[in-house]
Amino acid sequence: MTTSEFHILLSLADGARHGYAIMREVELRSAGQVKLGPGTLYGAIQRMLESGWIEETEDSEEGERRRYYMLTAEGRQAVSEEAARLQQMVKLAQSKKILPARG
Amino acid sequence: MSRHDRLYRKLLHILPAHFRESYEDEMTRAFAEVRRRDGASGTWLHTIPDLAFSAIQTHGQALREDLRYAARKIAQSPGMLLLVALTFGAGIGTNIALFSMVDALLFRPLAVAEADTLVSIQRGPGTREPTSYFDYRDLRDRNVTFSQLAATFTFPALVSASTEHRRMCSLVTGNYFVTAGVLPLLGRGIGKEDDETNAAVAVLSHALWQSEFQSDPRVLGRTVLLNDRKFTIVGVTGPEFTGTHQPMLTEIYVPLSMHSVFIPGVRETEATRDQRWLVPFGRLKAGVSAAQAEANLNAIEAQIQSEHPELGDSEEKRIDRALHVTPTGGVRVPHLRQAIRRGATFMMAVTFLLVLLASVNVTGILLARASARTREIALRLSLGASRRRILRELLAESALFGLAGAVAGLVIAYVSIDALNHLQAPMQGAWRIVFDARIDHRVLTYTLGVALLSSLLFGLTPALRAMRIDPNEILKEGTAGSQGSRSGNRMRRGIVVAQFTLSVALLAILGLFLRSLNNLYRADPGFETARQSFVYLVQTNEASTFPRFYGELKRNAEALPGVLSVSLSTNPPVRLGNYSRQRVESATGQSLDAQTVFADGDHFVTNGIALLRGSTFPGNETRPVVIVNQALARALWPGGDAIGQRLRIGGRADHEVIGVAADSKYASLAEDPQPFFYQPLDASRSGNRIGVTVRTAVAPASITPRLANIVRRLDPTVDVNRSGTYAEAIDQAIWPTRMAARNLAGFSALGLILAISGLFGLMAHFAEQRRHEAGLRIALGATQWQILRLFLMRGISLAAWGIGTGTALSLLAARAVKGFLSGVSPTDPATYAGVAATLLAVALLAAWIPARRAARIDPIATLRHQ
Repeated sequence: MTTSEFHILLSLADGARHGYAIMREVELRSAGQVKLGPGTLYGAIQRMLESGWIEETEDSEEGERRRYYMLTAEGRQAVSEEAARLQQMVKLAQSKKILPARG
Repeated sequence: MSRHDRLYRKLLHILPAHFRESYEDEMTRAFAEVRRRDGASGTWLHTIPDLAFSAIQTHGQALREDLRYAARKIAQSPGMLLLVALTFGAGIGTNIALFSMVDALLFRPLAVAEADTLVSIQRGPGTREPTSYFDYRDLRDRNVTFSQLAATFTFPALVSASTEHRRMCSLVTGNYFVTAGVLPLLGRGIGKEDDETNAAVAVLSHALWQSEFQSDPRVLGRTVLLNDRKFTIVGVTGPEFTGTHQPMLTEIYVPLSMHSVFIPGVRETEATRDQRWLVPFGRLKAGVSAAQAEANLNAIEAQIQSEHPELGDSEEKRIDRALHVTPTGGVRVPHLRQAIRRGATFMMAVTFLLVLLASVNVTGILLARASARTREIALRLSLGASRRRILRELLAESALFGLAGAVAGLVIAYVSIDALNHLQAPMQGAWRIVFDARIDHRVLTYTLGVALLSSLLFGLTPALRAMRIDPNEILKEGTAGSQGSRSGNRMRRGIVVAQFTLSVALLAILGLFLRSLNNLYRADPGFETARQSFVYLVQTNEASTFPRFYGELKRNAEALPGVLSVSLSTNPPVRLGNYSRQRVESATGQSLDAQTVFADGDHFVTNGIALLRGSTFPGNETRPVVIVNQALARALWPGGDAIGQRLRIGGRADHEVIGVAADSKYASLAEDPQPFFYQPLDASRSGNRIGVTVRTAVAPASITPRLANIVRRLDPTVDVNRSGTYAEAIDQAIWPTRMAARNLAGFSALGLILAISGLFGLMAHFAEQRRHEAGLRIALGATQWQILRLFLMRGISLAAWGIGTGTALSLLAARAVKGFLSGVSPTDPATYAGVAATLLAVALLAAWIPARRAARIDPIATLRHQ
């Protein structure tokens, strides 16, 4: 799982969003650290659609039809496994005194 | 939508179509929203790299998918994969093998440190002349562009260790190994002090160390005999360094100052700067180009000329003494490189014809495959697959076919490279060609390039044809394109024509070569070759001892059992191309350049050269006499009698013509009669080189070693430069042509097999398609014979087109092979007629079987089937 995929999946954790909303959410949650461009975003979306991690719904907003994306059960499973893996890495770094142990 | 958004939408075209079509609306909208929030410039700054990155990623993914799909498709028909791989592999394999050889000979840097800063230095207009020792010394000491400037002279010497053989030996300056940047495997290289103190030391090549000293690690300090003189072994080179006379293998290195042991006469003449024997090479200083070094050396050369007025200062002389610096990627001999490049270019061109022919064949196979898949493609198109997608899949398929062929080709090349590495020219015993052809990253890159280019070549036609499929028509019709493939048939006809065109070119080249080889074999050299044996000697003693030595030599040779006659000359006739040239003038002032030899009175009888008029040299000439050949007599005294005429040689005294000898060959077996004259041999004046020819009643090969023995017994210091029977020497002279013809015969056989197999396939395909027509015609009353003739004529008219085109193109390109032929014109009508007849016969055969099948069709069954 790439970093952008991880961020996109996280941004969909609390409900379906359209493309621009995903970009904004990722940027906001990472405090401006991760800025997804449209190319990276839709490249990742296409791959994750093929892996069945997300699915597409259509909805209209201000009279325009837009594509919304939402997490599937598999996607939720995948992102939680990735989060757990990252947590393991953090613990490892702490045990090696690379990171200060917090709480 | 602002102009920014419209621009972004346009830029999205760098993404793969199917991806873009799915997401361009969404992406443009996302871009617009970001732009409204962040401003145009900031958004662009962020977007361009994003777009570039995702383009690479999505294209890569699409390519992987295409290849995966293509691989699945190909795996469904393994038979076709095998057929394509073998057909294309056969074509490309020979090409790869030859390229690996050319690479080893010409392009791969030598196994020396920083080969790119090593250059060869040559003198004269032909860039092939060596230089004198004094010139070398001045160039070395005065230049500012070389960090090292070394020189070498390579020649065959008699090396005696566990066996005794003539081997290539390099006399080297003390800085030779430093300049080349070569570190010995054992011991040390030849050093400065060796050269200065005339030290009798030698460095062995790895090959010599292995063969003569069984790779003994304690070889240092042992001795080896070179021309019967003891040399102490001080080093052994590594296996990768084969000397600076590539592609000839150098087997032993000794200091230049020891030259007197090997090359008599240099000492007397070394004071003159016209004694050109050293080949200099140098290492450029950092940042200096070959052109700068050349300018520097020529400036020094101008100084030398002003300091030495005796060199003369004519324009001719200046051109003659000009220096040329060639970056050779090491130190190779430029004129050898030129010869190799010429031959290699030619052979590469021929193998490219093979690759083309194989590609045309594969096109035929893929076309058949595409037409069998017409329905499948039509179905997919009607179900909404994009044409672009299908085109990509088809091209991916042909790329995979190409790669499969390349793999097969590499296997074929791997096998044949082994044979190439053992190519051994039967030149003077000491010369051994070494090169290490192998499949390395350079050859692999080349192979990949050729394979992909060819697969584009053979994939494009079937793919583009598939693009024109109209799904409605195909699906409605229900048959796999039996009527709707008129354009396909046109392409197939085109392929048959192309195959014949290429086959004509290949066979014509082979035919011309075989004829010229035949000419060489059958050419009458004008002297006998069946019963002659010779030795060619280089004297090392004072010139005053020559007459006695030569006299004893002749008497001893005459006493050998089986010897009928013996003659001495400055050059035995079989050493073609080694005569000197002189200007001669008749009493009426007519003059011409002629080749000449000094020979004794037995020369004509011993060599079997007919004396047409007059008599031979009496042996005790009291006045200047000369014998001329027919060509010279005809040129100077046309219609008259040459006997008794005066001939002025080199502007000196007049000579009386006492005989006219039959023309023979002097420079090459392929030449037309050349003017030539014989002067009586005067041992005290003839120089230090002499040839002894014997005419025998027994097998001449049995006499050769005895002749050499006599020489060694009379004077062990005399160098037997070359020996053998005349028949052997002639064989060696035509070896290059023979080898080329052998390779070409292989290539052409392969080409013919490719052409025949392609033709059979295509003819069968045509006949199959025309079953219906044949059935109809028979039903309407056509006889079997009429059907047979109809089908045969179609095949033959295609072949005739191809043969016509091929002949026309070959005749246009024929001049390119002129230099490789002897005694046959590159537009030789008999050769082209033979090629055309062969190919017509092939076409007839290929058309016959399907035609007969068509003629036997049961019309009822065919028509009912429709």
